[in-house]
Amino acid sequence: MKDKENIKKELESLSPFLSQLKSDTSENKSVPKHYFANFEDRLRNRMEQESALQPTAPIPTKKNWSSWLARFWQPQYAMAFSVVLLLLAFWQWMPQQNDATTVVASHQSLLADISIEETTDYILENIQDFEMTDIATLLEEDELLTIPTPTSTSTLDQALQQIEGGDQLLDELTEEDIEALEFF
Amino acid sequence: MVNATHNPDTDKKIFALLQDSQTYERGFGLLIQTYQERLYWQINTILKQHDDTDEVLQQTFIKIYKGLATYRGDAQLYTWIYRIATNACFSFLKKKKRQQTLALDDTENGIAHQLTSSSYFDGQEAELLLHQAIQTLPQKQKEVFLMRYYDEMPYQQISDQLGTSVGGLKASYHHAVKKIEHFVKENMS
Repeated sequence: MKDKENIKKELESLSPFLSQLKSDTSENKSVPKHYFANFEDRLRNRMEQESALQPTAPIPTKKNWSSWLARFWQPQYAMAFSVVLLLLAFWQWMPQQNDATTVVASHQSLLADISIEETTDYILENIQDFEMTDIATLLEEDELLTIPTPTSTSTLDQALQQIEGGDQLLDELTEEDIEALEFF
Repeated sequence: MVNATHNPDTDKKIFALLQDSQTYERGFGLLIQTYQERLYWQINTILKQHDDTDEVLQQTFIKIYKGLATYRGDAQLYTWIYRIATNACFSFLKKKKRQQTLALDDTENGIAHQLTSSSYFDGQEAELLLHQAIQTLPQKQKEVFLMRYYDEMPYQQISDQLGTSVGGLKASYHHAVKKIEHFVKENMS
């Protein structure tokens, strides 16, 4: 009893507010007769009733494909599949983009060290490897004029060019003369 | 039926009984006998009405029964139980208030309005804040406050139970009271 008085005085000195709150809530406290004596029995009864009402685990039914697939017809699965598909598409597209840009970049860096003159010389030396249409699309009009057009001369033409006055000689040739030539 | 009074060895005995499946039910019975009255008044300070207190007390013990497997004995048993009881009170009050609000929406006769505006909820504000404040305390201060404020235990008895010096307990209680007073006053509307 003395202890309780001391505890009350201690609280009053520490916090009159809490002391008042405690005395307010302590008033008129009473419980029905035998409440605590019967409490455990009532509690145990309730627990038994609640456990009896607990749903038992569902009995596993025979699985078939349609029921197995049916569970995927739910919004959360659709969302998950969509996200996975988007990620896969992104993953597929990204490396290609990277590869293409890497190749172009590496080509550009290599060509940056070559002068226009060197490029022109290379093209002229290897002109047979290029299509004329490709060259035409790449070069300016005035640059196109500077490229010598390849000439195709026959063996006879080359022989005539080497002979002085070859053109005149050719004009004077008759059909009989031509037939008389051995190599015809 | 076991008749039990709380002493420092009771928790150890309860804990030991709960460790063995053979003695589990006996341990739970001892726990009920030890804490039912203490918890009743704890809950009653919040809910005021006997029927509500009885309902929440039963809910609390059912939660304790289901959750005992998670109790590792690292905190005082009563501190762990107290937290469950307080949370059960708050859940009960929330549910009750929601039901009253729904009833207010459904009816125009004013009875529900009288209930919601009555002192049932308003008068509990300080008590609810007090319990919220206790939850914010550090573990040691919480334990000391509960034992001193509600159970009115002498410092020496608390010292024997918690293994802390009487001087340290006085300091903890002093700090706890000041913190709680500050919390309640600051949060009261």
